[in-house]
Amino acid sequence: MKETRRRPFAVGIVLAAILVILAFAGICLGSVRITVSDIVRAVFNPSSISRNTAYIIRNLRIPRILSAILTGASLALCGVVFQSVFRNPMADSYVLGVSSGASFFVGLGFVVGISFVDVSLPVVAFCGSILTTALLFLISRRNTGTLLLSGIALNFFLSAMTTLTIYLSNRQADNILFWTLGSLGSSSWPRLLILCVVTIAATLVVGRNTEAMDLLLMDDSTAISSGLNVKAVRIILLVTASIVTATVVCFCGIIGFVGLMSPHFMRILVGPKHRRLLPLSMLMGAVILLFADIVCRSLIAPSELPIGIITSVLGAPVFLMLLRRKRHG
Amino acid sequence: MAENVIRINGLSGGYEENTIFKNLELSIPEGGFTAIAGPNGAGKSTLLKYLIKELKCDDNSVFLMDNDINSMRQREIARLISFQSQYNPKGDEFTVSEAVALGRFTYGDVRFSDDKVRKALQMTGIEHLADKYITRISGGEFQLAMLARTICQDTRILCLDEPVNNLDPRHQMMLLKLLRQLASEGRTIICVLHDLNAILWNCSRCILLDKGNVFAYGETKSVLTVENIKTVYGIDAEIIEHKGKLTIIY
Repeated sequence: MKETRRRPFAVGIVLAAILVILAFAGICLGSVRITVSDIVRAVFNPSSISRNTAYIIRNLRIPRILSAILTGASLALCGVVFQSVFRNPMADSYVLGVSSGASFFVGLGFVVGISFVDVSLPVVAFCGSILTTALLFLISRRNTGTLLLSGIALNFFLSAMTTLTIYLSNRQADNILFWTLGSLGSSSWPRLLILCVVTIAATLVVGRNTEAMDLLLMDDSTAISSGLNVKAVRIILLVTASIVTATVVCFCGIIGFVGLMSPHFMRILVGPKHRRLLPLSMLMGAVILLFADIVCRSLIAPSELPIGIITSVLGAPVFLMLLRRKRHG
Repeated sequence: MAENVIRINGLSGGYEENTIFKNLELSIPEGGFTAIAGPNGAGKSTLLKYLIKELKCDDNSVFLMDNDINSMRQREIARLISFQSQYNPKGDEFTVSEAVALGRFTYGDVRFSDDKVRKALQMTGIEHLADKYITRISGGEFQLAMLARTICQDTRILCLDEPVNNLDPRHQMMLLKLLRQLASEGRTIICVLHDLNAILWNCSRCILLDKGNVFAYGETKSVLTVENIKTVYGIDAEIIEHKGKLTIIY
C-alpha cells in the first residue's frame, strides 16, 4: 500500500489564494472601511480617490499587511530552523525563550538610554537572541531531553527581566504590552524594507541548506558520514534564525507560537523534507499572522488587541497536542 | 591503488570522561569483509566514529587511502567511506526512498538520484517499501533501508555498526550475503558484529578488540579461537564442525 500525503503544489496554491484573500480583507477592514476598487485605484491612480483614503491604504494598511506577511513568514522560518537543529518539533524562538532574550536586551538598551528608533536596537536585540540560542545549544549538546524545559524556564526568566527593565527605563505600560504580546501597529515602509531584506537573506541562507536540514533530522553519525559538516551548518542556521528573531522582536515585539504551528501543520500535509517544508511553512506563517492581525484589529474595533493574544490562543492547544503526541510515542 | 585503505597509526582518544584507545595501531587492506568484534565497551563503535571523523583525532593518526583524515573535508571522506549507524527514527516521517536518497548528499544530487535509489532498494530487496514512511516499517526493514542508503552513497569502503540487530534469521542471512557480494565486487566492508558464528561464516577477516586494544587481528578462523574467546569474553566456547561448517558453541 502506498502512503498518501504530499501535494505540495496544491497546498501552496491554496495557501497563496488564502493569503491574497486575507491581504485584501486586511486592507479593507478597519475603522475606515475601504473597498477593493479603492485599493486598486490607490495603487494605480491615487488621484482618483480622496487623499485620506489613499494615505490610509498606502501608508498604513499596505505596510501593515506586508509586515504581517513578512513577520509570519520569518517566524515560521525560525520555527523550521529551531525544530530541525534541535530535532524537536516543539522548538521555536518563542517557546525556547530566544525572542525573550532579544526583548530583554532591548529592555536593557532602554535602561542605558537607547531610543526605540535607534539603529543600534536590532544589534542589541541580536546579542540577546544569539546569547540565548548559544545557551540552548550548550544545553542541548549535554542533554537533549532537557532542552524544552530549559527553554521554557529561560523564557519565563527573560520575560520577567524584560518587564523589569522596561519598568526601570520609565517606559509606559503600553510599551510593555508591545514587547510581551507583540503588535504590528508600528509598521512603516522603512521598517518593512529592513524586514524584507532580512527575510529574503535568511530564506536564501536556509534555502541553500534544506537537504542538510533533512540530514540533521537523522542522527549525527548518519549526517556526518553523509558528508555534512554538522557543527558548521548548525551554527550558520542558528545565527540566521537569531538575526531574524531579533529583527522581528525589534519591530513587532514577541509574537508566540507562529513558528511552532506553521511547520507542524505543514509537516502533516507535505512531510518533513525541508525543500517543501520551508517555503510552505513560511506561507502558512504569513497566513496565520495575517489572519491573527485581522482578528485583533476587528474584535474590539476601533481599538485593537495585541496580536500575541490571538496567536497564543491558536498556538497553545497545538503545543499541548504536540506534547501529548510526544509523550505517547 | 592503495594497499591499505585504512591505516591507524598511534590513535589515542575516546570520549571526554572515558579514554578508549591508547596508541592503537591497525591497517585494513582494500576489499574483503572485515568484522570488528569484542565485548561491550571494547571500542568497536568508537573506532568507526574515528573513521568517519565524527570523533576528532590527532594529526597523522588516522589515514584514509593514505590521506590524513584531518586534512580531508567531510564531503571528501563521505565519497570514500559510508556508515550505517545504530540510528533509530523518532518522529521524522521520511519515506524509505527519501531517506535512501539522502545517501547522495555528498554528490549534491539527492533530487536527481531516482535510478540509484531504485537500484539500492532492489539490491536490499525492499523496493516494495519505497513509498512507506520509515517510522511505520519494522525494525528489520528499517535496517535494510539504512543499508540501501549506505549503498546509494556508492563508496569504496562501507562501515556498518551492528547492522543485523532487529533482523530475523532470514533477513540476517540476506543482509550478510549482500555484504559478502559487495566485498566480492571489490568494496571494503567493515562491520561491527556480535554474533561470532555470523562472523565465522561470513567475514574474511576479524579484528578482536578488548579494552581499546587490538587483541587479535587476521583471518577469521585464526582470530576466533577457543582461547581468544575465553580471554576476551570470559566464556567457555567450543568449536565444532557440522556439515563441513565450523560452528562456535557457547
